[in-house]
This record gives sequence, structure tokens and C-alpha cells, in this order.
Amino acid sequence: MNRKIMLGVLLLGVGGAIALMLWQTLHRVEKKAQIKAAMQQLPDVQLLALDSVAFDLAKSVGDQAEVLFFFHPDCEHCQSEAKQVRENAQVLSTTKLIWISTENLDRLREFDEKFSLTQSIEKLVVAKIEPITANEKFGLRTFPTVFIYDAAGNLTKKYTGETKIEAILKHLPKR
Amino acid sequence: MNKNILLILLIFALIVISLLAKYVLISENLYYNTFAEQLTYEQIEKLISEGKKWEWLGYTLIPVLIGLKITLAAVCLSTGLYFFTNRFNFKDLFRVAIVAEFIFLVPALLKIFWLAFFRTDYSFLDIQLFYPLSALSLFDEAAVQQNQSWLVYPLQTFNLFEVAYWLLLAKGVSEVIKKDFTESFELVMASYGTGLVLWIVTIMFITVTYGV
Repeated sequence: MNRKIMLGVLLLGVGGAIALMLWQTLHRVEKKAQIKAAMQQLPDVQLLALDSVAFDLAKSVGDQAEVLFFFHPDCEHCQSEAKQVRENAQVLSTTKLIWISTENLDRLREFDEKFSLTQSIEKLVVAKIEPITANEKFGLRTFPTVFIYDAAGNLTKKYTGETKIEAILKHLPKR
Repeated sequence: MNKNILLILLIFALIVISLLAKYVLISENLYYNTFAEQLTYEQIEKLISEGKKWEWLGYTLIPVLIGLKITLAAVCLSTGLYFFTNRFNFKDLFRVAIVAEFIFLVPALLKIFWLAFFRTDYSFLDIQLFYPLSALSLFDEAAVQQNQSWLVYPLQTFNLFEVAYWLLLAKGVSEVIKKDFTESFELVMASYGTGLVLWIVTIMFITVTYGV
């Protein structure tokens, strides 16, 4: 009798765990599909610039191609990416570049100053995004992640991880 | 043969196959072909040198991972045996799991052979995804990885060698518990099968929750 009870409890536990994880998996798969569909068009999200003024991402970009770099100030690959961007300032000068992070503004200002991003490129903006917005609109998991949008706001290419400038330029309109 | 000797042989075989795969399939050209679109030459060089630096860790993990897999299989079988016969016999079932595990050396070798001689324009993704005689092979593997990455592991796991593994487990269990093959296979399905389903669902959950 004890064995039957133990077996019942074990099966219930295992069955329950399988059912719960399966339900969560399917729920997250659906959510990811929605996020993927939503990011195909430049999302309409609020960002906070380094001067603490909020602005709308889609409206600020207008009718030009843009490159979004999602980064974390402590991420080595993000720092390397920032150096690459600064070294190629001339080539990138006509492209709208938006460096976005969920970290607080002080840390972003330090990062900008350390890598002279906004100083090197006039069309470069560094801004903060709320973590929940970053997750729901872009499904962010890894830094750096690079999104390239065309002038109509359609996603042309997404790169996960450090990306050489030549790869980014390939997807931008020729000057 | 003593189960410790069998285990050592299995680990040795796995390490040799890993070394063979590295020697035959992995080259600097593969790195350049795979990453050249996104990374600079210097970044790829750094990736190669980092890979060489940490290569030893992969070989060190082989005995740990295979030991864990066999232990989990033996735990499932022992639990099933306890509820089936009111006996607990972990030691003998651990040996059964070790013997059955040898079947998975075949797809590992087949993979190296196939990629080296037939599908020679492979990438790192192909090395990761390709599993001979699996359900995944029936689909465009790269498309599944791109669009439904959470399905890769279950489709890879559903393969003919897994079926052979179950049959070998059942044969081993029937010798341990002195029952016929059919009853032993039912025990394997109920015990190891349940454990496998739990494991696959856990991997799917982790893939979706923490994957990029």
C-alpha cells in the first residue's frame, strides 16, 4: 500500500512538473513569436537620452536607416564594438546610430565619455530603455545585439554578438 | 567484464571520438567560413586561440557528463524496478546502463564519417545539429534551429539509436530481474521513458527561457 502511495505521489510530481514546464514552454514560444513579429517594424518605444529628456524612438529616427546597438557598459564585446564604431566614425557619419542600454544614465554617460561616442559621431545617440520594454519589444538576451532598420522602419538584419562595421555597412543604403 | 572497466573503456572511446572529430572536422578554415561575415580576421583569430586555450575543459567534462547520464538512467531504472518488484538494485542496473550506452558511439562515428566524406560543405551549425537517423534529419535543420530552436533537442533525441538503446536496456534488465524481454521493456518504458520525457521537457524549457 505504501509503495502504491509513493508511486502515486512520484507520478503526480513528475507529471505535474512535465505539464508545468510544457505549458510554460509553449507560452514562451508564443510570446517570442509575437516579439519577433513586432520587431520586424521599428518599435514605438520611449527612451531616455543622456540629458534625461525622454524621446520616442520611431519618431526621432524619421525617414532614414538606423542601427540600434543594445549594450551593457561592462560587456567586453560591447566595449570593443564601441571602439570599432569610433574608429569608423567617418564611414558611419551619415547613419543614425542609437546605443541603447537598460543601465542607469550615470553609467551610460561614463560609457559615452570613455569611448567618445557622441563626440565622434553627430548622429549617434546613447539612451536608456526600461528593462521590461527591452524584453517585450526586442526580446533581448545577449549583448551586444545589433538591429539594422531601413528608411521605412523595416528590420533588414539582426546580429547577435560583436559585429564588424563592414557587416553593418553591407545592409545600409549606399552613399 | 567489471563495470568499472566498462566505464573506463566507454570514457576512453568517447575521448578518442572527440579527438577524432576535432582533428577531422574542425579547422581554422571552418572558423573563417563560419564567422567571416560578422567578425574581423583578428576577432576570429582571437576566437580560435580562446578555443585552443579551453579545449582541455571539454575533455575533462566527458567523464563527468557521461557518469551523470548513466547514473540518472540507472536511478530511473532502479526506481522502476523498486515499484515493479519491491527490490532496489542500483549496482547491476548501473552496469546495464553502461553497456547500453556503447550504442551511442555509432552515431558519433557516423556523424564524423558523413560530414568528412559526404556533406563536406558543413558549418559549425551543421556539426551541432546533424544527428544520423534522427527525426531532425527529416527537416531543414537550420530552419528548425532558426524558427523553432526549442524543437531541435527533442527531434535529435527521437532517433533509431535511442530505440536501440531502449532495447539494450530492456535486454540488460531482463537478465538482472530474470523476467521475459516484454516485461522488462515495459519496465524500461515506464521508468527510463518517464525520466527521458522529463529531461527533454526540461531542456526545451531551458532553451526557450534562456536561449537567444
